[in-house]
Amino acid sequence: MKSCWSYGLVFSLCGVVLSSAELAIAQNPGEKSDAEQVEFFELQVRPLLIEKCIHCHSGTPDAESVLAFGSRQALLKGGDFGPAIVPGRADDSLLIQSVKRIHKELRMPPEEAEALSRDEVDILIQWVNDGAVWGPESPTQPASQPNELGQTSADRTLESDFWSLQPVKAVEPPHVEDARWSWSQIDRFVEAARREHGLTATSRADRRTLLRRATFDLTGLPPEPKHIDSFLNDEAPGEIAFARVVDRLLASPQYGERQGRLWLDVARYADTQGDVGDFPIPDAWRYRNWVIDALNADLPYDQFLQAQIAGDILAASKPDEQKARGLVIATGFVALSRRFGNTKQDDLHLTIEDTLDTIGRGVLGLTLRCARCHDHKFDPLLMTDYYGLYGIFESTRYPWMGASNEKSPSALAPALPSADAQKAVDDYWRLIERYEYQINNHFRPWLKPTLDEYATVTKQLAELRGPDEAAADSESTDEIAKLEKRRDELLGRHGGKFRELMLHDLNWVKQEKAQLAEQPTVEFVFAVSEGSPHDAKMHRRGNPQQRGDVTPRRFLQVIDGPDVPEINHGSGRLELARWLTQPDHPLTPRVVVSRIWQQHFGRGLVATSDNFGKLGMAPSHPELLDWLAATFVADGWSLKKLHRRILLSETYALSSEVPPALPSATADPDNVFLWKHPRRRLDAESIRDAMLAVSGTLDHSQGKEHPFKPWHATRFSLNKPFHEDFPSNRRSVYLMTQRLFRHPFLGLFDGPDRNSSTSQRTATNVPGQALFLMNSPFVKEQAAAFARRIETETRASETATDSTIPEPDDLDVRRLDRIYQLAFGRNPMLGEQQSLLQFLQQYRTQGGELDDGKSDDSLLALCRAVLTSNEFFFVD
Amino acid sequence: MSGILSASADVSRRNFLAAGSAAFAAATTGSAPRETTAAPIAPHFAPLAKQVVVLYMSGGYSHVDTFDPKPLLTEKHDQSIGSELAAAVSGQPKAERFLKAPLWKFRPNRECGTEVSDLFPYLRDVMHEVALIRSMHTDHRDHGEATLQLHTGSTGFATPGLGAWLSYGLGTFNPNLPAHVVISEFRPYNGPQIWDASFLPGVHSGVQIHPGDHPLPNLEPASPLPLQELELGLLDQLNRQHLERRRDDRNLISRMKSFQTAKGLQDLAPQVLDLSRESKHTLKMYGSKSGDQTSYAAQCIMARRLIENGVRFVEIIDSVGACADNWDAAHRDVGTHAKYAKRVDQPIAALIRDLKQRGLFDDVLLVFCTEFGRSPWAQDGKGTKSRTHHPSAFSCWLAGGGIRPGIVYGQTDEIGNYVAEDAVHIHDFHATILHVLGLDHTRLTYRYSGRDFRLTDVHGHVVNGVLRNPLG
Repeated sequence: MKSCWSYGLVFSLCGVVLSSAELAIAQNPGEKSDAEQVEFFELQVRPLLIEKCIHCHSGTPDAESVLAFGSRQALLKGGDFGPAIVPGRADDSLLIQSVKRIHKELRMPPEEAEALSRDEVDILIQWVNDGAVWGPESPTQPASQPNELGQTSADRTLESDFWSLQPVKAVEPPHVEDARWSWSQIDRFVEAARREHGLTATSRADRRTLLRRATFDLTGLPPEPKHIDSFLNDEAPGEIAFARVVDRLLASPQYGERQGRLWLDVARYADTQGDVGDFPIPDAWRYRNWVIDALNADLPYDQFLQAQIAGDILAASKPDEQKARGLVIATGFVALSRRFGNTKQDDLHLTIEDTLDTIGRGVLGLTLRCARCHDHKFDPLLMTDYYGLYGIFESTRYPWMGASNEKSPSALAPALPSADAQKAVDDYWRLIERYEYQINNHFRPWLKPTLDEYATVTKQLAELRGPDEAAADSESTDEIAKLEKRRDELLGRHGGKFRELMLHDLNWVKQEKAQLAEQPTVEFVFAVSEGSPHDAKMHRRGNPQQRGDVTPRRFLQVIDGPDVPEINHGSGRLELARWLTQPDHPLTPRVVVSRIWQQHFGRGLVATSDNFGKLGMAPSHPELLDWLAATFVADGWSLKKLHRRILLSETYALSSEVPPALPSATADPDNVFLWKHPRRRLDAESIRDAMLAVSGTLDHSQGKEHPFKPWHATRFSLNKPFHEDFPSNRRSVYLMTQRLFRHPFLGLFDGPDRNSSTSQRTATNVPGQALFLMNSPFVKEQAAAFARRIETETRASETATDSTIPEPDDLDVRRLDRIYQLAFGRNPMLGEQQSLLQFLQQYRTQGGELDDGKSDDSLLALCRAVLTSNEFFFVD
Repeated sequence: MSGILSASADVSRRNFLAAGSAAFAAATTGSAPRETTAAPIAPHFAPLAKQVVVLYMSGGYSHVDTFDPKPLLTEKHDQSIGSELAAAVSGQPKAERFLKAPLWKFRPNRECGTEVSDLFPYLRDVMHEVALIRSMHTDHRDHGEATLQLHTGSTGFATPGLGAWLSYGLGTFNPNLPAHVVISEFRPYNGPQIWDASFLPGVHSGVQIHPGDHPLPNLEPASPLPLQELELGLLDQLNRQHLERRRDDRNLISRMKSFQTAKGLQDLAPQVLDLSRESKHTLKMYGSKSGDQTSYAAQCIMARRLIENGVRFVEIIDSVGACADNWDAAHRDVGTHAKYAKRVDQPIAALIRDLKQRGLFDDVLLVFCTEFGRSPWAQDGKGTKSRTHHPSAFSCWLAGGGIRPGIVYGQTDEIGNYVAEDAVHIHDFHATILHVLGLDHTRLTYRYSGRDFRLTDVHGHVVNGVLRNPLG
């Protein structure tokens, strides 16, 4: 085909008699006669197109580009970027921009070396400016059909034998002789893999280490001395005593705060919208607390997901108001997608992309986003999959707290969904939005003529009517009618959007808005709601300005097969939520068990826990992964049971210390096969929470709303974005999180990205952190509080035990014990104790010499060294 | 060489750099993980320059009033060119456009003839050292997006900035200073996002210096130095004891080292940023004076001192008071340009001269840029004073290592509306900067979220015409 076309063009050039009767339509003949124009085309333009363009722009199905150069019509129709030519306007024609190589993406021909000469470019410019007249095609050639090649092969039948897309296999744990490894089923899988790779595990960690590890892993806090004592003194065998610890931790409210924090990473949780203005979302905390409470209640993971994707729809069938409200709030998962730009709707495709990316990487372990502009390059995901899912969220209404150019909130959801409630909420916000628009635009130059004329007309009317409005003669009645008609026309100008501004004045509008804003007439939450259900059009090359074919809403073809699922009413979110949580879904259960595993071992069973595709890593223990996933589903998707199962394995209890010359250390340096427990630095929240806990300043109460100013008292924009740091001594999960600005502590210590789903934290050790630990007021405050706590507690125990005044050294010894118990969960060893005592003494002497009262800071300095030490920052 | 780090002032900078990197390499036993350090790394090919200073004029200066003379605008002042305007910045409907004459006269540089307006008399005098690009264009007409693109290549999705990529790709020469420094008195558009490491390791994030009394957070020692040293000694002792049974763990060692570096930074940074040792002559050349630590002139001297001390990438963000008081002349008199130009003109010309006289000019790439241009027509109707955002054409310049001096590259149409020849997109601009630093923009990648990311995404061509020695 390709060669035929070339031939056709050549044939035309050589063989066609130039007669005006056969001319193609020329819209803009300009100065040249038609015949001259065709001649110019045949002699100058056509050869150029054949030589430089036709090879890739043949219009055949296998052509490099959608754009065909077969006819004038084909060029007018254009390709992915729109029409190639605008007859009469060379500067605006993509063809000219691309051969001049001034277009951002299009530089044609692609090879720099083949670029058109200036003369050749001038030929094309002249041709387009003259109206782009085309010569007749040979009658033997079919009229050129602009090729309909899309960027996707929608009817491709997708099949994949890739491991993660296969059903979860039913596997039995392998048989292992050794009693140490046969007690837990997890251990049997892991030990079998160790043996296969010739690895020997380290010994079991001691009870102190194990308790510190489990307490941080499940609650994000260090163990308290009383829990250390009771575990150390528990006479039950190790496994049984430890099971009691795990059960206590799983039942503590701090479990939900810790696990909630990690889910909020996945959900790219923030208290602001992101991008321009970074508008605060005062209601976001409700979603955050819903997550924490749901995990504490061990809400099964399938229901946990369903609520977050389709809670508002599920709520309609819940008679229990409390539960219904919770379900609506749970859709914060979708509602908290990042916002972009100055206006609400212009960049909605990016917000939906964020939703799909979060569901893709967070729930499915797939980089769905990669199929936005073209079929996925590596995984069997099509553009039609992306836009099939896209339609579901284009049929969903996203709430807004405002945008730089549209400052009022909109599309918030009623706390208890019903059609009436939704209408009341919408009417309320629409009215506010209307006033807001008038306030924002009253000064625009384009509005001025209307306002001025309205003022003139109303003034004339008032004059004509006179003070008593009765004395009008017939002439003035006519005039009045005319003016009234004009006045009404002016009120309707600009879509009638400025009616109140004209009828009253700016102050009136401001007051009305303020009154409405201060006294909402309805209750609403920041949650999604159902929009008008429809299938989305594809965006060619991901460009929302280039809409392509309508794509039926659907899930993933590679899993479902070619049949489009039934989405009968509504957006399809409920169907999506159910599809994601089918017990036999190949991805959802595998992804979550791998991520929970990652929490405890630093590395998921699939190390790329948000990418189970071809560019991700293969599972280290494929059979264990499937066994855990299957057991998890069979257990009713219980996350607590999953944690318990993992923590009670012997593998979890391994020591992180590597005996010298252990062969495993060299055979498997990355510890892929878990021959030891990995030592890990605490994450940002745990560092902060542990400092607060140890220094005694931690406020354990559950956080609620942040002290945001009401929305109508603020006007955020690009120049003046929201920026606050609401300090508090609550746990870090309750800190206000901004998208535009990193939290000064959490940002520095590798906290989660607030702009996109975080699947795994990194742990860097950069000088900026050290500088913060050395010199920041925050750390100094914690160290001071810690020192005060120690002084108070040791003084208290003094009076409790005996009346004799202890030797100063004795007091220091007891202080050191207490510091170590609280911070490290142990007493200092003799050598340590001596160097610590020596430090105190030296500090007091040297501080005394400086003679500025610094000698009293010796305990503070010691506490700071402890709080910033490696032993405090790392968990064995 | 200012002699800050070496005992003898006559040690050449090269020696310092070599010594510094060797010492650091030794300290890290050659296997420093990229996640935690920014030790120097070999570029892809021989670099034309080793360090970068970006002079970013925030708000978008008008190209037709500064670097791109258009006599036709004066000739046809107040004449209409119709109303075909794509979606405008503040949502105003399609309005008729009337051309607006530049407010300043253009004159040529005596040596190379490059024309620059009277806004920049000092810069005009050094244009023979500069490759001026008059054919820049970018994708977005809003400040936030365009500023983001100028820095990161992307208008929306958060990706690392140029400085972060260079830190990642090349590391730094001085382990006691960050590789990537941003001097910014105020919060620019998009705030720290434009120098964020994003998905790159955090060590590559820009460190913001606020010119003035508190240039960096947490720089002041929490206790008197002897006591701080005693405390850090204890910390080191605790960490050493902890390390005894954990010798295999490099993270523990790397964290211990980070305290040494922090101490170095704490002690060194104030010296580097302290301008009191600068000679009167130097201060005068920049237009600064003794005791001044905050003016743009002072910031330019700071940039030079950071470069002398081995920092890889320094950016100065110019805005007088946050981003409401900057080059943005939308709905504002373009005449305000005079205020901003006066602030930067002499200091930047002095920076070029100073780098030359210190023998640094050939190793440093200077980048003078803005996020977009300004419309050739008056924004608010005939005869009004403002010019609106204009992404389709604007001017930037490059100078220093590897750059062809005294040339003009590319041109716009007769009114400066569109690029007419040799268009340079921001992606091309980035590709060129990386090339000058010895990096192939297609090979400087980072695997994140399932794919390899680049500063230039899937775009970018090196602009050969601005290079002293164009590619084959």
